[in-house]
Amino acid sequence: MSDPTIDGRVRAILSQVLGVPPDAIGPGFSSESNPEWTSLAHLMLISQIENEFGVTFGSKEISELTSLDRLTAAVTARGA
Amino acid sequence: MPEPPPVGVGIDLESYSALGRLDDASVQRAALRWLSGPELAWCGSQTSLASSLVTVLSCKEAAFKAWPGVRAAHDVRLESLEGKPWAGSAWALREGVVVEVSWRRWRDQVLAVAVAHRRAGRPC
Repeated sequence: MSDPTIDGRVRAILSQVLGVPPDAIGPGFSSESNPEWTSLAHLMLISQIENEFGVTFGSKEISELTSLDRLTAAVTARGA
Repeated sequence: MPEPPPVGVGIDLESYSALGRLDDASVQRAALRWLSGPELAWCGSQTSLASSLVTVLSCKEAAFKAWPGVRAAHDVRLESLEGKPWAGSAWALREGVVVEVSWRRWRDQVLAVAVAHRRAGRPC
């Protein structure tokens, strides 16, 4: 089960970078379901999340963090 | 002697306004995170860090799409960037594959087109 605090902070970053209302971001929200989540936006998301939580994702992992659920899980796994 | 055929082509289209929701510190942080030294230097010589960051990342994405064997766009390192914010070219080289990228700005968007060749040395 995801940490609600981490989940909320990740949602806030997704909302800010993608320009999507926070209440539109829920489970299953992903790059496939949101046209605003471009390759450029993805890099902005990653750098914002890394800064927010003080973590650094690996190169291969970055390409796989394409949904709210995966981002939240990756941050949670680092104990951030 | 004829040129060898391209081994890949890539294209990318990005909007400059995509970074409009980020403050200056966030743009600066993204540039430091995703750009190499030469890429940062080129951005530093331009009038807008945000716009030049979008241009470089679009070129890297186009190069990634053209370049067999590259894992991700952020792993592409552009060796040289030349040109003004509205048009220019870049190239990258790894493992005998040269990728030449051209970009052109049109209103709020940048279009980057990359062609990969199997060749040793810098393109002419």
